Amino acid sequence: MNLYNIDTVVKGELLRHKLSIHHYIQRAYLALRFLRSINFDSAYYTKTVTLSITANKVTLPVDFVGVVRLGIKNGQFLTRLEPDANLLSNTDAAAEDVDGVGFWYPNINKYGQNLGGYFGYSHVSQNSYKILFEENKILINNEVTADETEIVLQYITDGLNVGVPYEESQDLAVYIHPYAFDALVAYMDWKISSEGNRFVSRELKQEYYNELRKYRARINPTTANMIKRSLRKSYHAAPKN
Amino acid sequence: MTIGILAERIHRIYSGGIPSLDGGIKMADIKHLVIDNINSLLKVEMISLNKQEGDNYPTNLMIATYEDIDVVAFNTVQSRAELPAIPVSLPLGMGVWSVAPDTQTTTAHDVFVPLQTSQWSLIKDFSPLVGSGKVLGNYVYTLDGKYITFPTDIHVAMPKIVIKLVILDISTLGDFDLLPMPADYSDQVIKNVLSILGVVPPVEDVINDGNTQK
Repeated sequence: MNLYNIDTVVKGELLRHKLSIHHYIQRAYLALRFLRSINFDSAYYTKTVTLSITANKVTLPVDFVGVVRLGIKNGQFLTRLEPDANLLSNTDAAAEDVDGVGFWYPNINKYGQNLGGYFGYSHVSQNSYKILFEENKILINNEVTADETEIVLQYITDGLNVGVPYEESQDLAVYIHPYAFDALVAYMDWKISSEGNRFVSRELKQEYYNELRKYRARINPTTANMIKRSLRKSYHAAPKN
Repeated sequence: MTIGILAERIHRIYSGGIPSLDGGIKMADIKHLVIDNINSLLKVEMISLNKQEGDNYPTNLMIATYEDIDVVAFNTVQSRAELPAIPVSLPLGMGVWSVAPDTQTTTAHDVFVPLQTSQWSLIKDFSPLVGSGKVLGNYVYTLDGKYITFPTDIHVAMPKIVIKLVILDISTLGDFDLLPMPADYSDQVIKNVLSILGVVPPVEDVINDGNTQK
């Protein structure tokens, strides 16, 4: 995939403004700040990793920001786990201790005769997890860990270590998508222009948000087919009577 | 134009003819005054003229290149190199125009990224901007007095560096070397040096209004 190295982009900007390398560090910082910002909600970039479960817990990746999907492998698909705030982080309770099933009872009359029927039973998903930010870990339900040794986590990253060269050779290169190039340049222009000035340039701010809008439109994966498929999900073949 | 010719001209005007050997000033002193004056003019030109026109780079005449500068270990975790000369004072430490690895000893080509003094402590923990003493893969340095300091010990990987300074360095000039000075500077340099030597009187205030003309 063709990605632009942030270092190259920053140096190109110095060239454009006829500036020397002495102005590099400030722009490099701004570039990374921009990259982090767009990765939260504009980049549509997520990372997927397989993580091992140790003592019902999984350590969060260093660049983890938020969960998109979390689940266990089911062939080529993912069986999702759902967040459950009631999971206790320090429990080693048995698997049958399931929250929310305490009022399950049969229908019995005053003579003790079972009239049939059971009440109070509610569905409780045991495929659940809870993020323990204080421990930098994910707690997985006992029911899951009884059968599984690893989970699949798809998560939002701050994007600051995106790119094969970074991960493989640790050369600290950071990359951005080509669609984001103009928005990055506009962001740096805007932020740099406001330095030492009492008034921020409205034109440059507007230019940035315009470029950001274009970037979001270009990178947005939604297609007409996706919308059609979404609409048609509601229609099912049904028997006529 | 050479430093020798320029100094002789000034010496002759100062002496009011052929200078005597026991004159009040030595040639070496005049040469230093000439160089100091040229450095001032170069700085004024870079900041007042070139920058106004949107040109942020010094002209080639302002740049002195020093090769084969040793990098030595310092403080067990850092390394540093001694500046071969003290450059012109410019914003953002631009007097040190560039620091780069000596390509005869390493294969790296990129110039190092300068940081202001103490900036390293502000950014050193911001990964991945910084890692292994580099900023986005570039080596960095700060200026500390007469030293260039590298936040990590790079003297093994980069034993020699090349430094470019914004300066007209008298130590690199012989009497017959071409003086790297714009052609239109000679007249101004002679006037300025003679003014310092007291030969050219300061401008008199021709209007008696108490407002001294500078």
